[in-house]
Amino acid sequence: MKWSAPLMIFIAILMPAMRTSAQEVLYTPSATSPGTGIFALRQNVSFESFDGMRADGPFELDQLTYETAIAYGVTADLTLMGHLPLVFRDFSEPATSNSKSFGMYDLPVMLKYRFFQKDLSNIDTVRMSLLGGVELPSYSDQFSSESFDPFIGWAMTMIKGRHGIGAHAKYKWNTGGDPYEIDFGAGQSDAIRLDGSYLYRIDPVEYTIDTTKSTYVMIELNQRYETNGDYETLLSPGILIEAQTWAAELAIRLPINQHVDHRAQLDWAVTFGLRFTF
Amino acid sequence: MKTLSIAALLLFTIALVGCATTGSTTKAPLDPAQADVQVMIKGMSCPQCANNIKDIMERVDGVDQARVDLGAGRVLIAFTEGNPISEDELVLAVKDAGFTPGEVSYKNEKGGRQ
Repeated sequence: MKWSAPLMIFIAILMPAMRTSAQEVLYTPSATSPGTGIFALRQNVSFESFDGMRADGPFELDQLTYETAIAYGVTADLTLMGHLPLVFRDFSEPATSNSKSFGMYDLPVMLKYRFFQKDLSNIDTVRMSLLGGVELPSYSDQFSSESFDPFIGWAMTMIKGRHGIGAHAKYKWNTGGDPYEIDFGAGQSDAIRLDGSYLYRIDPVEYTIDTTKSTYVMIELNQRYETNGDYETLLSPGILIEAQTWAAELAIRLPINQHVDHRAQLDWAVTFGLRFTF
Repeated sequence: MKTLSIAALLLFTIALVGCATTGSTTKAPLDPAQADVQVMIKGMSCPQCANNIKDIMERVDGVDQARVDLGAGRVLIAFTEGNPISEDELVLAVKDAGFTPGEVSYKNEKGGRQ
C-alpha cells in the first residue's frame, strides 16, 4: 500500500485532540487519565539507529517514527486511547544498495482503567491502572504484522513532592508477523515490556499560586523480553518542560544489555516530544 | 543525514501548528480577593493538572473564572453575577477532572470564608 508522507503528516497534526497527559515520561506509560470528556494529544518524533544480520548479510538502518497518541476520558477513571505511528526507514546493506520506505506500524487501540487512586496531599498521589487492547493491522507493506495482536498491561504512578516514580508492565500476544523484524515486539513471538521511571522536579522548588511551568529531569529503565529468547535493557535519560498549555521533552535511549538474535539491534535512539493544549 | 532533516522538519511543523493555535485569548488571572469560593484539591501535582481543573471548572454553568493555586492546593472560583453554584457541582467537577476534592469554602458577607 502506498502512503503519501505529506498527507499522513497533515492528518496526524490535525487530529482533533485537545489536551495532553501530564507529568508522564517518554517510554513508561503512566496511570494518569485526562479527565471526563477531555481529549489528550501527544506527538513524538523518534530517530533510531539499528544494525543487524539477516540471511543475505549485515545491514544498517536509520528509522524515523512520528507517533500521534490520542486519549479520551470516557469517565474520570476510564480512558480510550489510540496511536498512529508513521515510519520512515533508510535501509542500507553494504553488499547491495540502499532503500528507503515509508509506512505505518500497526495501530494500538486500548482502554485504560484506573482502579486505584490515593491522593495523599495537595501534590502527593498514587495511582494504578489496568490497560488492555489490541494492535490493529495497518496493512502497510513492510510495517504491518497483518494480524490482530491483543495485549494487557498495568501502570503505576506515584508523585511525592518533587519526586515521581512510574512502573509499567505489558504482555502482547503476537498472532502474526515475520520471523525476522526490525522492532521489538513486531515479530512472531510474544513480547513483554517492563518499564521503570524516576522523575525529579528541578524547578520550581516550591509551587506557588503563580506557578505556570515546571522542569523535570527523568531517567527510565526499559526492559524488553520476547518469547524467542531475545532480551535487552535500555537506559533512557531525558528532560521534560511542562507548562499549562504545552510540554516539551527530550530523551535518549541507550542499550546497556542486549541479547537479540531475531530482530535488529538498537544502537541508540533519541526522541523529541511536543504537546500542546488547544 | 536526510532522515535527521526530515525529523527537524517534522518538529518545526509541530511547533508551528502549536504556536499558531495556542494562547489566542488572554484574560487577567482571577484576583484571589475577588473569588466567591475556594475548593481544596488533593493530588494536583503539575501545571497541566492545574490547567485541567481550571478548564473543567470554567465549563460549569455559572462559573465566570477559575484560578488554581498549586502551592496551596486549591482552586479559586468567581461566579457569574447572581449565579451561585452548589457545593455538589463543584465537588463533581473536581472528581471529573480526576482529583480528590477537599473542603469547599464560600466567601461570607464580610469577605472572609465560611
